[in-house]
Amino acid sequence: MRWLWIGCFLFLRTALNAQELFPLSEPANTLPAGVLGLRLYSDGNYEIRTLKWMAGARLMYGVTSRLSLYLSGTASNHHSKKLPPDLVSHTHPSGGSPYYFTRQVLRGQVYPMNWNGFHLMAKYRFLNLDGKNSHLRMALIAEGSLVKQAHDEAEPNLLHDNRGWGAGLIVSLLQNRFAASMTLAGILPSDYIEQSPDQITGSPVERRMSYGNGLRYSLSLGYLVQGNRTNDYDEPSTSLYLELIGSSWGDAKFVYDGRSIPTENPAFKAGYYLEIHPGIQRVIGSNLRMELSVGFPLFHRSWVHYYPMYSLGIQRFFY
Amino acid sequence: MCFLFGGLQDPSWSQPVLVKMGINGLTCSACARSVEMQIRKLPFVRDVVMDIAGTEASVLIAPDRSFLPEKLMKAVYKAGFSVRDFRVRMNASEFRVISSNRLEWAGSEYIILSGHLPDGRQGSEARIIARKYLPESERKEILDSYSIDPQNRKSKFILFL
Repeated sequence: MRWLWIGCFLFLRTALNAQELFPLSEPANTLPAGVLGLRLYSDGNYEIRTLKWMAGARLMYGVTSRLSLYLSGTASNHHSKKLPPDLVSHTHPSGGSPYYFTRQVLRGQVYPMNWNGFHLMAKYRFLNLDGKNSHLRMALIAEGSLVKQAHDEAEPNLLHDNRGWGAGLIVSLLQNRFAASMTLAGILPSDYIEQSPDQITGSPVERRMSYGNGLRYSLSLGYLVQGNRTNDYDEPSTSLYLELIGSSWGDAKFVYDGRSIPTENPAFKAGYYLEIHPGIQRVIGSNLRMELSVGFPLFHRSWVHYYPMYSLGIQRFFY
Repeated sequence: MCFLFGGLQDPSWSQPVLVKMGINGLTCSACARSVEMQIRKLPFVRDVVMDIAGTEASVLIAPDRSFLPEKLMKAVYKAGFSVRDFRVRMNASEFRVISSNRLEWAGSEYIILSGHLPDGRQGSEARIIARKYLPESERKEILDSYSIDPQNRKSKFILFL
């Protein structure tokens, strides 16, 4: 860990030629008006010995020079079709009425690949302070997702785990080709509701997961190591990135047939984490982006994925 | 770039207009390409050369098409960037003198701030001083230096260099 911090410090000191086409975070920049973009991306990690992965496609469109829309569709093997049948257990203390509680966290479960749903984000760039070799840009984002997944953990994610809303602010700064971008966004996940047979009676009962509100935050830095030094668009470029990505969230509640069930499951508890994602990007023909990054925990850990977390992306604009 | 300047020296066709725009916020080849593609959509644009290091665009205007500088400036904003400097190489046949300090060019009226008007085929470089053609702080500074009345500041100005 000490060497990681030293590496970060050296990176910050030497990042004089910067790129702000961050692999994982969105900068405050918007798409040019009338331009369409396509991004294919995937991430994966080994949860014990089970490969958990997600694949997605994102269509991007510049409505105006300040307003861009991003429509994503994702599929993953993160969830079963319904909440695990044994999510609620019960005992009969002293032979009396059953006492229900949520089961302990299960890891390494194998689920089939499922369609998660859609995610729509609008980004509005409201501040633009441009100089010849500098700019400060700020943008507001609003996002909504139509994801119906049996997400049995408190940590919310609108892109592929939860239905809900979100909004946030992005600030991107470039000064003498030093680029940094910060994002702070709130997440308001909606409840997940399903009808499932009761384990004792077999009659259908409503099972509801209520997720706590969340925050996601990131700080991204980029360093151009090769290319972009001539006016030739065909000159490929290579950039290195360092992205700090984190999230915090509140407790989740599980309601079984109208009754709030006390939880024994730490995955239902409030939490937070901060990860570091070093990444590399190759831009070909000034338009085709390909990137790979690997995430590791810095403080605490995510409940929804293990480490290392591999992310791949390929992106192109259609002018 | 050779094509652009070669074209200007070719006497066989009427002289095209050459516009040079300094563009703020251009930091990578992808950004430059975005600007270039927006500019190329304009019907009066014959060719574009982007200078990534100098953050400049050189635009050759087709002589047989009606040129609107506003559309060129707006193309830069549509790509998500802003204009730092808008210079045009023009000769006497391309504008009409309205009065001693006013001329009409490319569909708009301009107040001449300073400099000598070009005559004959000898072209002159001119800089447009108007909103969105340069940073607002610099526009104010230039107009202050020429003691322009605050009521007239919404007009478009031209500086022959």
